[in-house]
Amino acid sequence: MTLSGRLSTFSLSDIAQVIDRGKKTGCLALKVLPDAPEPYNIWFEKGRIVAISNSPDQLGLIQLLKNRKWISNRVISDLKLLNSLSIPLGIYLESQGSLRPEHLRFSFQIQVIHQLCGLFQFSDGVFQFKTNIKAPKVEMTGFSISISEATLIGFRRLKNWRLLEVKLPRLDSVLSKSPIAHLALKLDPLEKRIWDLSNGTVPLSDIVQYVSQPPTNIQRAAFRLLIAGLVVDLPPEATLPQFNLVNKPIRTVQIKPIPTTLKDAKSSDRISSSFLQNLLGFLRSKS
Amino acid sequence: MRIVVAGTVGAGKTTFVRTVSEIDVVDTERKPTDLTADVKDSTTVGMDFGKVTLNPEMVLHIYGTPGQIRFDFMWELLISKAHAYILLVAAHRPEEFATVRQMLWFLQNQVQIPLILGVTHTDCEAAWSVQDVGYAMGLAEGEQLLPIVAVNANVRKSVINALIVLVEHYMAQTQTTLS
Repeated sequence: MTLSGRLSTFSLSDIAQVIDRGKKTGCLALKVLPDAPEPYNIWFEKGRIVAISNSPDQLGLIQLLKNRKWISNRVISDLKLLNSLSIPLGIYLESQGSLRPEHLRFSFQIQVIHQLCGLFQFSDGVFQFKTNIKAPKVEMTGFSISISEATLIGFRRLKNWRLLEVKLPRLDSVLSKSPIAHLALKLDPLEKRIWDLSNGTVPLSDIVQYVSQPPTNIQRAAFRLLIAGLVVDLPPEATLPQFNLVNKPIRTVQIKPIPTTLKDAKSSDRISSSFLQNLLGFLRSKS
Repeated sequence: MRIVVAGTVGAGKTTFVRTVSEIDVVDTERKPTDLTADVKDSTTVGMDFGKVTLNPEMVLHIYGTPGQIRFDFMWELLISKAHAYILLVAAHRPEEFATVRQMLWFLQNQVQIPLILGVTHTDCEAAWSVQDVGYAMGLAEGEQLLPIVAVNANVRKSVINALIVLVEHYMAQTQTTLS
């Protein structure tokens, strides 16, 4: 099964949430536009991200460890033999005493969390998710993380928001909690406040008043909740219709049942069980 | 009983109502002047209305909403008076999933009435699976927030099957509420 589309119409957050909710295993290939040198591969196992790399020869993790000087040249030369690794490279190196545990953790943060957040700055690109493709062991640290957790952690640490300013929710945005968000993640105090007020009626501009923080802080925290799939921004207010009716005269139709029904009915009125049983029987007889 | 069929432009709402209605559907189709014109030649600006009569005392009314979200005043009017509704989403247009998800949560904020998700155009090229469309709507594995059903709005049996699922869901929901 392949899922494909464009980032301009179905965001990285959206596609990652689909993979997360479906607990899918596979590789999301992401070619960002307009000038991506190599596509990024994001590998998932049961919905959790295990590795990200845009190295064409799948040496991204080794290169990262080498650049940071976290592994020695002797280890690097031995790595030529690692094509047949049966466990993630990070775990292997740690078990051999060739990589310190804290460096392994840092390498995952850089490889996955930092790179993932960097990918959100791109507004356009094409994606294709292929299921049942396992991450190469040589690109894996051995850690995994959910998209929600990775984006919350990553964007909290982000210092330079310049490229993301245009993606921040507007102050007139109204947020609503996701119906399936169980809030298993630990939110910071500002995120928690916004979460509590995300009831589909309170615009961010009002939240600014409640929490006495700069609007930008509110927008960034709301952005984190949106990207993590914990809330959604509701549609803007309806605008007046602007349809061209010149070439087609409007028909005047008497529709008695509609205004009568809409005016007289109570939204809370209940349908009798006998009606429902009859209706169900009637429909089944027609199916 | 009043049922509302909601969804984005071109998801199949008008077709759904026409396919199952026993009367000529009262529609308010007009030539679109916006991006809707890329999807279809005419679009609903008011509502579609059809009905199914069991007997003179028992009638099922089916209302189709306009597709554009800018007509949400009409949505609110219809949804607030509905007993249950089905939200249609076209499986081959992932670019609209975010909008449908917004609609879903917008509607759930407006009213607490039974809802099912109807996935249309599942036979089109590049269509997502029904399950993946559910995930794109914000539903998760093992979460039974609402039933999801594949619907071919052109096929009467398929539409009736969707109505059966909706009525069954309504019965289950109202029983839960009462108990």
